[in-house]
Amino acid sequence: MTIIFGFLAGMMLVSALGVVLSRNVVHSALFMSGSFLAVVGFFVMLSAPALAAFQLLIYVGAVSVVILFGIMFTQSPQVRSFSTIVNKQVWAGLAVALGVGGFLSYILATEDWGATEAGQGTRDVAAFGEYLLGVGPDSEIFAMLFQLVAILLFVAVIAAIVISRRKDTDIESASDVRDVGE
Amino acid sequence: MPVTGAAIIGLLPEIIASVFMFVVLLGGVFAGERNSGIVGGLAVLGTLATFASAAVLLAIGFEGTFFGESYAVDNFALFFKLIVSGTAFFTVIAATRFAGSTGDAPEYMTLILAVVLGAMLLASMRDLFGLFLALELATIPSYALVAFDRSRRESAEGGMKYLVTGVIASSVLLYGLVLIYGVAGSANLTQVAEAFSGELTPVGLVGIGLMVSGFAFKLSAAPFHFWTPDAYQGAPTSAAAFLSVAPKAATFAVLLRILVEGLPGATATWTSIIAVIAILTMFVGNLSALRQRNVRRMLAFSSVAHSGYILVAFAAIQGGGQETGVQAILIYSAAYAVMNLGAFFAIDLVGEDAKSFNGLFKTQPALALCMGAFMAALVGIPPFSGFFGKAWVILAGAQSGSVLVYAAVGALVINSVISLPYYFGIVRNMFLEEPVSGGTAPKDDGGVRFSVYALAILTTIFILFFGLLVTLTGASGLL
Repeated sequence: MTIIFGFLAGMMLVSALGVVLSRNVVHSALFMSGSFLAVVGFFVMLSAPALAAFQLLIYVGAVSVVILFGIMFTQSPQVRSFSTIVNKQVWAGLAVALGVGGFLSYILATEDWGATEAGQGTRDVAAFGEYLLGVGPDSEIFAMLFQLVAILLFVAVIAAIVISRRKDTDIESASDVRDVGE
Repeated sequence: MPVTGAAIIGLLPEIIASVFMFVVLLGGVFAGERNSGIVGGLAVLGTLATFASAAVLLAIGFEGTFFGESYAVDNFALFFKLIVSGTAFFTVIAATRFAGSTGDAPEYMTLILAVVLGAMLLASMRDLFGLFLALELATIPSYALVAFDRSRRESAEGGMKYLVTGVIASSVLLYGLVLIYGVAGSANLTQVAEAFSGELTPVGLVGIGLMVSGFAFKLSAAPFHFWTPDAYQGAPTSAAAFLSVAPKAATFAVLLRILVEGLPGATATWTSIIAVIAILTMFVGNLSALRQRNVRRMLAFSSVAHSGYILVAFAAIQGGGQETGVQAILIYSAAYAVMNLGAFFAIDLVGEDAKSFNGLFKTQPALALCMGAFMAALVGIPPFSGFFGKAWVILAGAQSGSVLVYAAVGALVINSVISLPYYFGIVRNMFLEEPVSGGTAPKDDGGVRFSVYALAILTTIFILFFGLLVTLTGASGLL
C-alpha cells in the first residue's frame, strides 16, 4: 500500500509541477489529467469508488477535454506557448503557497475525524455498479446523480463544440485581426 | 425502492427541461439553419412547459423528499424553479433572433436549457455531491454562452476569463464541501446538521469559509467579483441578462438551504462572514458602477451590488429575523429577476453606450418609459418591484438583533443613495438630452421588444403579486 501511495503521490506532484512549469499550454493540460488520474487512484485507495468514478468521468474525461478543445481551437499556434510562472513574483507566490499548505496541513492533522470511518466503500465491481445506480442504503441519490453526470458530460461536449466551432468567415476575420496585431 | 412514482412527479420540471434540451438540439438538425424560428419556438415551448409543471406542483401543494432525503421538493424549491424557468422563457424569446443570426440557434437554446436544468436541480438538492454536480451543470454551459458571439472579440475574452476564474471558484467550493463532508461523515444535509450542532472544529470552520467563498464567487460578491464585468460585457446580451439572474437565484437558494438546513448550529459564524462580505460587495459594486460609461458594465456592477443587498438578508437570518430573512431572499430574488432581466434586454434595443440613451423619450417613448421603470426599480422606489425586496431585507435586518447586521442595513441604505446617480443618469439622458443624430441604431427585434414590455409591466405591477408572494414565502417549507 505504501508503495502504491508513494507512486500516486509522486505522480501527482510531478504532474502538478508539470502543469505550472510547462511552457506549452497543451502539455500543461495533459499534465493536469495526469494529476487528476492520481487523485482517482487516491480515492480508490481510500475505498471511495463512487467518488473515484465521478472524478474519472468528470475531470479526467469532461473537464480535460473541454480545456483541450478550448486551447486548441481558440488560440492561434503562435501564442500557444507561454512563459512559465517563474517570474518576479515567484518568491511571494511560493510564500503564499507554503503558508496555505502549512495551514491546511496543520488543521487537517489536528482534526480527530471522529465522524468518518475508513473502508465504508466497496471494491466489488458488481456492488459498485449497484451503488452507482442507487441500490442499497445511503446511495439512493446516486440513482439521480448518475443521470445527472450523463447530462453534464453531454452538455460539456456541446459547450466544447460551441467554443471550438469556426466558420469560413470567422477564420478570414481572425487572420485579419492577427495581421493587424503583428 | 430508490425511485418511486412520487419522485418522478417531483422531478417533472427537470424531466421536461431535459427532454426539451434534446428536442431543441434534434429539432435544429431537422429544421436546418434557415428555420431558427422553429428552434426558438421549441425552446419557448420547453421553458413554458417547465414553468407550468412547476406551477402545477406548487398549486397542488406537492411536497416531499426523495432519494433517501437527498432531494427536496418543497414550496421553497418550486418558487425558485418558477423564477428560473420564467426568466428562461423571456430570455429564449429575446434570444431567438440573435441565435438565428449566428447560425447555431439549437446549440444556444440547448445551453440555456442546460443552465435551467442545473439551476432547478440546485434549488432542490440536499446532498453535497449532488449540489456540486448541479452547480457545474449550471455553470459549464454558461462559459460557452458567454463566449458564444464570434463577431466580437470581447466575447471570447470574457468567456476565457469566466472559465478560468469559474474553475478556481468551483475547486474552492468543492474543497469546502469536502471538508464539511469529512467532519460530518455524510453528504446529506440532515446528517451534516447533526454533526455541526456542537462547537465548530478548525476544519469545520475552514470548510464553511471555503464553501461560502466559492458561493460568493458564483454570486459575484466582492472580493470575488472580478469576472463579472468582463463576462457580462463580452456575453451576448440575452446570455448576460439570463446569467445575471437565473443561476444566481438558484445559487442563493442552494446556499440558503445549506446554511439553514445543514449548518443551523453554526449560524453565528456564517452570519458574521456573510455580513462582512455583504457590506464590502455593496460598496464595491456601487462605487465601481458610478464610474462606468458603458451601460452593460454599469449593469454588471449593479448586479454585484444587488448580490450584496440579498446577502444582507442572509446575515439577518438570526435572532428574530429568521423567517423574515428567508422571505426577503425569496421576494428580492423574484423582484430582481424581473427588473434586471428587462434592463439588460433594453440594451439590445438601444445600445450599450450611455450616450445612446440620449433623447430616447422623444424617439421611442414606450421603450424610455420601460427603461425608466427598470431603473426606478433597481434603485428601490415604490411601487416598483425592487422596493419590496429592499423593504423586506431592511425589515429582516431590524428584527435580527445583531449590531453587525444593523451596520449592514445602514450600508444598504447608504448604497441605495450612492446608486442614484448612475441609475438616474440614464433616466436623465433619456428624458432631458437631445437625441444623438447620425448614430447607428441597433436593429429592431420583436422578441426582445416583447420581453422588455412584458418585464416592464411585471416590474410595475409587482405589488399585485405581492400578497401571493408573501403567502407562498410564508409557507416556504424551509423553516
